[in-house]
Amino acid sequence: MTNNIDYSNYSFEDLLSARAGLDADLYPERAVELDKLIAQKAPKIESADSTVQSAVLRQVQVKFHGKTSEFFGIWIVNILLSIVTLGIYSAWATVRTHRYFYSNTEIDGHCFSYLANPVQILKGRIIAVVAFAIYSIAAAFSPILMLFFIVAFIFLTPMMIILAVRFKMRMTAYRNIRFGFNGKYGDAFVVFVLLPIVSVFTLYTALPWVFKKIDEFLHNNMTYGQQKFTTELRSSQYYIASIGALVLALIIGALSLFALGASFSAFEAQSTLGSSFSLLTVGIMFGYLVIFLIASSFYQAYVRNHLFNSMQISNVASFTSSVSAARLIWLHLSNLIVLVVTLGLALPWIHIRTSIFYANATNISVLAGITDVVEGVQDDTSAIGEEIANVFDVDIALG
Amino acid sequence: MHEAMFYPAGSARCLLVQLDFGAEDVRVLNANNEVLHILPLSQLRPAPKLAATCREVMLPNVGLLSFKPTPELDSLLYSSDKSQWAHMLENSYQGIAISLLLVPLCLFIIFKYIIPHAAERFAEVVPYSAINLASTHTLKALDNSMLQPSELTLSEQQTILSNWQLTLSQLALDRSYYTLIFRKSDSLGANAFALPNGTIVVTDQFIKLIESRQDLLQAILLHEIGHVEHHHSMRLISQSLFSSLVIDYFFADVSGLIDAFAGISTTLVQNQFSSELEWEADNFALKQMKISGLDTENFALVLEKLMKTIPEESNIDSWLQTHPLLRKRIANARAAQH
Repeated sequence: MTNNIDYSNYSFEDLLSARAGLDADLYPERAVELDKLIAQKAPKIESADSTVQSAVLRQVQVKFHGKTSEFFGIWIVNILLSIVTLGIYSAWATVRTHRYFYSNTEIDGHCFSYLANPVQILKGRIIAVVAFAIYSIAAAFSPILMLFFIVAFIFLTPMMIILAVRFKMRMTAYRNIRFGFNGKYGDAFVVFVLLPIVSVFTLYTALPWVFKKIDEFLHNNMTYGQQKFTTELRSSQYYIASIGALVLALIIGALSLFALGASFSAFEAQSTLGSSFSLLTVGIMFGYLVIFLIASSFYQAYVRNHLFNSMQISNVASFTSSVSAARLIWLHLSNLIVLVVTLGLALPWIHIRTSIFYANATNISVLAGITDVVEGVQDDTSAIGEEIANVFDVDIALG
Repeated sequence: MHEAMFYPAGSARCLLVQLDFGAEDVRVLNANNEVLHILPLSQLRPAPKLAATCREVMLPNVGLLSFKPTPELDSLLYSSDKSQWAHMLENSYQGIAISLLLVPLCLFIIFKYIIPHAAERFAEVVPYSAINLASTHTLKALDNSMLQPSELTLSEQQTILSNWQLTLSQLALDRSYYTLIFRKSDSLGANAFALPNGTIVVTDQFIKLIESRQDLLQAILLHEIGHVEHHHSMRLISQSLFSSLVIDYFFADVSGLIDAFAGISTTLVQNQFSSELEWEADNFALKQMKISGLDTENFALVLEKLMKTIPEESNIDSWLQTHPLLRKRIANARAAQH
C-alpha cells in the first residue's frame, strides 16, 4: 500500500483524529507522517483542565424521521424473505430494520448508525436455536434434567445479559464513534440473580431498590468512545414509581372486578347457553394484560424520566426526558387494541409512532467536549449472547 | 460537487465536505476547497441502500461519509441496481403486495401442514429408550405432585387388571408394551392418561365414575392406547418445540406486547393440534372396538358420564381447550355404530 494521503491541509484537531483512527501496523508511513505533522502543528498553550465540565453548546430535541409508509414495505418484505429462506435472511432483515430506526434517529444534525454484520447475527442465531432445541428436548423428556438446566440457566443469565448489552452498544455509533459496555460478570450476577433472590426474603419490599441497582449496573457501565456514562439514581424515585404502579394496578383491578361482577350477574340472568364462563376467562386474561400495561407504563414513564434526567456522558451530553405517564399508558393501550384489531398488520405503525413518541419526549444538552471524544478500545464482539437472550426471552430494557 | 458530512476515523469530529466524483476516484474537499483525500472508487464501502435514510460510506482507515440520498449520488455509489435488490423490493408496490399475500399464506402452511408433518416424522424416529426415560421421569414428577397412591383394594385392582389383559389379547397389540396402573388424584378428578412408553394411568375417581364397569373401562383404555400407538405425546412435544422455535425465531425481536399476543396464538394453534390428536385416538378406539366386536355405544356412554362431571360447554370453549367438545365426540361415537 503506497497510496499516501496528503495531510498538509488538515488542522491540528483533524490530524489528531486521523492519527487516532489509523491502523499503524497497516500504514506505518502514514503514521510517521502524521506524528511529524502533529508535532509541528501542536498548539503552544496547554489545553484546559479536562476535569472541568464543558459548557453546554446546544439544547436539542431528538428527532425521528421514520415513516410508516416506508417501514411497512421493509417489514413485510423482510418477513417474507425470512420465511422463504427458512430463517436465514432474518439476520439481514434484523440489520435492515435496526438500520432503519437508527439512521432515522437524529440528534443535533447527526444520525445514529447500526453497524452489525448480518453474518455475526446469523451465527449467534444458529447457536441460540441449537441451545434452545437442546433445552426444550431435555425439558420435554425429563423434568429432572430440566431442573439441572434451570440451575445452569440462572448462572448463565448474567453472562448473556452482559454479552447482549455489549453487542447492542458496540453496534451503535454516533458521529462515527461506537458506544460500549464494560459490565463485569460478578456485578451482573449480584444485581440480576442474588439481589432479586434476597428481595424475596424482604417480602419484595427491597425490589424497587434492586431495580435501581440493575439500572445503575446497566447505565454506569456504558461508554461513548472513551467517555463514561454516569448516573445519580435515587432509591426514593424507584419506590415512588413502584408503589405508584402497584396502587394503580390495585385500583383498576378492584374497579374492573366490580364491573365484571355486575356484568357477570347480568349475563347469568339471560344466558342459557352457559357461554359466559369461557367469555369470562378471556375477559380476565385480557383484563390482566390491560392492568399490567397500565401499571408498567406508569413505572416506565416515571423511571425513564428520572434515569435520563440524572444521566450524563461526561463532557459530551446530558439528557432530559419528559414522558407523560398518561400519554404513555394511552400509547400502549391503543397499540394493543390496534394490534389485535389488525391481526398484527399494524406492527410497523406501532413501532414508528412509539419511536416518535420517545423522540419527542427526549432532549439532549450537547456539551462542548463532544468533538474531543475519541474511539475506545476495539474488540471483537459476537452476537451469540444477544441471540440467546432473545430466544430465551431474557428481556433487557434500555431507556 | 455533492455536499456530505465527513467523520475522520477515530474521533467524533465532523467536517462539512464536498465530494467530487471522477471516473476512477472521488475527491474529498473541505470548506476551503482544499483536497483532504483522493480515494479510488473501488475503496468505498457504501452500506446497502435503505429507504430514504442517510447513505453511509465507510472509507477504510480514513473515516465515514454520510449524506442525504439524491438519485445522482445513488447512481454513482450503487453502480448496479441488482445489488440493491432488497431496497428495490421494499420500495415496489408489487413486492409489498406479493409479500402481503404470501406471508399469511406461508404462515398458514407452516403451522397447518409443515410443523405437524415434521412432528409426526420426528416422533417416529425417537428411540424407545428416550421415550421410556421421558415416561418414567414424568410419572415420577406427577407422583410427587398431582398423584397419590390408589385407594382401590387389591382385589378390585386385580379384577380390572385381568380383564385388561383379556382385552389386550383380543386386540392385535403387543401385550407386554402396555401396563395399567392406578392412582388417586384430587386435582385431576376422573381421568385417564397414557404415557408414551405404554403406561396407562387411571384415577380412582374415574373407576368410581364408571362404577367399575369393564366394558366402559375398555372403551376409554382403547382411546389411551390410540394415543400411544400414534406416538401422540412425542408429536405434541415436537409440535410445541417446532412452533415455539418458529415463533421465537421470526418474531423474537418484537416487544413484550407482541410476546403476549404470540403466546395466545401459540396456545390456540397448540390446542387445535391436540384436538386433532384426540379425534385420532377416539377413532382408533372406535375402529378397534368394531374389529373385536365390542359395542361402540359404550364409548359414547363413558363420554356422557364424563360430561356430567364438568360444567356446560360452549362453542367458544373449543378454541380454548385441548380436547374437542365432548358432545361432538359423543355424536361421533354414535355415528360410528352405523
